[in-house]
Amino acid sequence: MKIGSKYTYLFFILPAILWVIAFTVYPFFFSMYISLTNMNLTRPGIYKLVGLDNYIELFKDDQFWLSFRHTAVFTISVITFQFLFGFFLALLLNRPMKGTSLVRTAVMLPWVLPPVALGLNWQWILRGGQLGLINAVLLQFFRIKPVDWLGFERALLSVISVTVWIGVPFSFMLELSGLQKIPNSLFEAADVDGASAIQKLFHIIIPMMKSTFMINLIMITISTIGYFDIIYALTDGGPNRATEVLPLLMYHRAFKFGNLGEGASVAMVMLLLSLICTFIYLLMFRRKEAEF
Amino acid sequence: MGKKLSVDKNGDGVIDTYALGIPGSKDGVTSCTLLPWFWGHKGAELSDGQKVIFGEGNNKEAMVDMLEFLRKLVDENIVSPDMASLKFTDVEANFIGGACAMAILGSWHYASIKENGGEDFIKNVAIAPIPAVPGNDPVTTAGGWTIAMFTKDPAKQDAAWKFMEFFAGHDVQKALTVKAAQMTTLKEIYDEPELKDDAVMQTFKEGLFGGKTRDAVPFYSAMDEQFQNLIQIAVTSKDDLNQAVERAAAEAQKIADSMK
Repeated sequence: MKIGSKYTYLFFILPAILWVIAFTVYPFFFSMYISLTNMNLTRPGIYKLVGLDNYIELFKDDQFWLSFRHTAVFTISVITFQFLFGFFLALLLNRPMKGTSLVRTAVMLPWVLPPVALGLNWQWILRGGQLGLINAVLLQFFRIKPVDWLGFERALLSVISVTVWIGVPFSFMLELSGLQKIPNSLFEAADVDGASAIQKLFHIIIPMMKSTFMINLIMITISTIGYFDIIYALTDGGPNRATEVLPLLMYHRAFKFGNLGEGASVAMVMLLLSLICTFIYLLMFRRKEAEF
Repeated sequence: MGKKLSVDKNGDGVIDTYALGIPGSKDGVTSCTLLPWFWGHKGAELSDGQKVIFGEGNNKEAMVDMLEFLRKLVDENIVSPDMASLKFTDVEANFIGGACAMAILGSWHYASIKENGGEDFIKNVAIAPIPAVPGNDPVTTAGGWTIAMFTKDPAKQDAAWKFMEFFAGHDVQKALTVKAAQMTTLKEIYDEPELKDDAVMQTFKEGLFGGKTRDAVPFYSAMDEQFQNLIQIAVTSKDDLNQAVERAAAEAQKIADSMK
């Protein structure tokens, strides 16, 4: 192939294509294949195709539906709060103020720190009894009795809160960049017309940021459905399965129970969920765009 | 006795010190810590190393008894209500910090309590074997970790075996016991000059005779996960423990069958 021929571009994108095939396409099809087998870690190399048996077993399993419910609550809560807090912070820190750069850097910190280290720190902060940091502060200053933040009733709420805290910087960064792309002339015209801040928000900012919102929502959804590290470090799905979401179920089935087939079928369900959510977002935003 | 040791020191309605600290988080140490109570009831988890039997007959009764006892400890404020989220390191911290008067921990915690609590603290610490169910002998978990060798290269197999002989040999085991309070199973070590007058080490020696290793089966960690869940069910819910044990045993058997 000569440099400058119409196929030259193939040469340049070939490494990227090979990368995607090796680390995305092949693992995807291999996972799908594993989900149709009885592959088990304790029988290396000895397995057979079992059709949809893993899926049928999974859908009959109460633990799967419990994890499914936890994933739904976890995902919806994280998406809602991460998105709204990120947007609120972006609006707040978009205007030039003294110390804005410092605050922006501070806001980004949770996102750049290693999740497992954060999980272990939060475990110490949220510990029950009087030795947990929050409980010690509540008792010392407000005489509030120690709360079991990682106990059965509150563990999912605690895990959601920590995940939101870690994810907000990502949404903030994305939404701030979206805000900064809005031409100033629109705001100036709105000022001339005497528009209030609320009117600017609903008639300029939100319509102009629809594509940013869509990207943000899709990325939060995909990452939240597959969220593992913080929950693993904080509770490992406990106590009494109170925080066992689908990624943890997948991990437990595949690597603790050795059942790779069942683990892979959970992964396929997670993939399907992500695709459905993405499709809904695309549909929703396309319709809104048409309205706009 | 337990109730007396749980104390609200300043009368603010908050228990400052619980009588007993037990790890209850989802961790192998949780089941290692509590299985001796099940074994002490003459309960067994497996028959012939293959069939899961902790959900049947006397074994089920022993398991349910153990779980009901745990539930009672939490309900009566002898053990703190956050037990299900406590790792063994949390229990150690609670013990040193005065949040529990007694703690059920591994022998190696004696060394870390000494290091973290300091010499003055350790002077007031005593250890005792895990109490047995009346009429039964005391039992303690003694390892049960399985070490596997996958290489087919005879030279590497030989080297690995030599390393294991060295590791399980007198010198290393003695050093682990003296420096890290890792309870060795080589009983003659407890009679050596450095240890024979040490009350703590002699209590470890006493516990050695009730030592029980866990079964070396491929599905043990999956079954262990069921025990951890049962313990968490007992201390965080009011679920029927008979049904929970039956369900857990059925689940463990299903996993065992999937590995055949």
